[in-house]
Amino acid sequence: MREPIAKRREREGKPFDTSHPLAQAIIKGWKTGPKKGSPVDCFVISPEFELMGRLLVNEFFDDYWNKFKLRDEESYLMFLKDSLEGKQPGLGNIILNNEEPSQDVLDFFRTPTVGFQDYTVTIIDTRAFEKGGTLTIDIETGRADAEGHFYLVDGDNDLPTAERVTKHMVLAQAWIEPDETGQLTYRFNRGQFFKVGATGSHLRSEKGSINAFKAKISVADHQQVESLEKERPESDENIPEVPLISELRLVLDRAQPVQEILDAFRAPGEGYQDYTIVNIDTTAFEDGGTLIIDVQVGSADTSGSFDLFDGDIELPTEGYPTGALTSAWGIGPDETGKIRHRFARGKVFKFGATGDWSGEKGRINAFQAKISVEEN
Amino acid sequence: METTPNKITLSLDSDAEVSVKGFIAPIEYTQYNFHVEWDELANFQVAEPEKQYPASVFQAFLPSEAVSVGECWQLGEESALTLLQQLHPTPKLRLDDDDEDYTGIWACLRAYNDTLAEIAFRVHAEFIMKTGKFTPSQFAGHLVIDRIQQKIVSFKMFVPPTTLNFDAGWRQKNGNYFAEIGYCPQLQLWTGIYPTDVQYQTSITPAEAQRMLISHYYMFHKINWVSLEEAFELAPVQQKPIHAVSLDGPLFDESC
Repeated sequence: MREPIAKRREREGKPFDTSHPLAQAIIKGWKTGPKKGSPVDCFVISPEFELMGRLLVNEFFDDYWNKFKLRDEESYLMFLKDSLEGKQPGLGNIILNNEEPSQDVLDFFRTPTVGFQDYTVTIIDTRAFEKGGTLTIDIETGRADAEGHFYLVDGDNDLPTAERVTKHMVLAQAWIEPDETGQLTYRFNRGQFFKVGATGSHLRSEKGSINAFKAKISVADHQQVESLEKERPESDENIPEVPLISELRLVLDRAQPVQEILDAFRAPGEGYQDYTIVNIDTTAFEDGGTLIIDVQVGSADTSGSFDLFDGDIELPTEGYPTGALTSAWGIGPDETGKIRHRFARGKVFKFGATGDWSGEKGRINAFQAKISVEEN
Repeated sequence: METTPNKITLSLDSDAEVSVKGFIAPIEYTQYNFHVEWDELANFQVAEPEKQYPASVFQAFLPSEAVSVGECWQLGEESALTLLQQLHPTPKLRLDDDDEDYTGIWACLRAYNDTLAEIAFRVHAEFIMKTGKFTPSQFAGHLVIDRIQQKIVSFKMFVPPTTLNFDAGWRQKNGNYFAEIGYCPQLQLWTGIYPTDVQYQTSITPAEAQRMLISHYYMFHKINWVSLEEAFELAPVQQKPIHAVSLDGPLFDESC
């Protein structure tokens, strides 16, 4: 609808100047934060036209009621106060403090098609740690083909879009192959903002290829770090290795009835399907059971739909998935869903992940699925 | 007729008849192309291009007591519905989405002199279609009366041509209900010619009249909103942060 509106404005001699600094701040606000595309956004913007806070009206009040049991007006007042106090609510920052020193991020990265510009950026606010600490970011990459480069930089630095990240800018970096884990660590003397940029390796992966990643971001203050170092001087050996599934066929049995996968899906456009497929082999459960799939969708701005099929069915590429055994549709960014299916005899299933029809075609998001079987 | 200083009463010759024209232009654009895919919207046309009314229909637009410029009163609902039926056979004043917030329909005396008086009004209404509904942003309008002859000089009730000026809902064959928003260039009823270059004895501007009317519909209108350009000028001077609200559709009407 933008095109006819723009044409009409031109025809009527009333063009809208989007280069206006305040308009630019609002446009930046639309693109900021984990969730995008809200029909109503509220912003607090500084006199210098910098974003101080953002609130998605359609989700905000439910979220605040669930979190704080506050009435709408109290929640809105809290948003305004947080904005004015520099807490930057709604801007997608990971805010770490003593009460919540660790948070998880589930997102995806893309291998640049041109230059070095495709960064998925996470902003980390560690200002609560006034006396400093150690920032640790444990990263898992998904099973898709793209290899990831992860850079930690100062929050005041912008990740360059037309050239490589320079050495003097990088506080820590990691190159991680698919289905692997890696870690970024950085010791800081005073709490501050950091940025983590995730991108695909343009030398080693196909241009435009994508992959999911999950990052556990945590801060230990100096005191905690010192005591940990005393207990575990060779800390590198103690980084938890989280197994990831690297094969398209995932086998569940009594010895291993629960497995997790990390992958990405793509919005197919209305009326179509574009499945990321996981084959789930439950044949070990001869007497049947219940297949349970707990899905978490990543932070990118498209919703996911998930369908479970019999293993011998060919997954549809368009229309409603009428052959699905059970489904969970329209799971929004950062939201979770569940699929349960009771089966009489162990067999192979196909689990298909695709974008919701309401999402713009080609948009990508990560998902994590915990797949398990409960025996009858 | 003058009653007390600054207050006037208004009436119409009840024997008069008024011929009103109606027009609905083809919808120019919508967000999801419903104006092409949904037959009822694609073929949305005025029910009766011209219709005769007794002046009594317009009497309901006049205040029942003496009023001063800027004073607002509620309109008669039946008359508003009668007129809206010329556009579409099934108008409704209590909107589906806002039934609980219904505040009636409102008019305001904008200006008068010894011979003419102008009333501004605002109506919120929607049309019930066979498979959905069509909700214009608002019907704005004016009624200019010859106070001596007690006749209508000019009447116009129209949907302003803002960027997006209607909301629609379509229940499709599979039972799913989808919302739509778009722009219809012209949707109006009118009669007579609006008099220009009139020297009014007492008046407020059309914009002031609209502000007074709108305050009867929306509580948030009590906030002193400023334009993007004004906020840009004021914030650095006053060193105050800006509280901005960004919407996919308009806030001050029913199109979103």
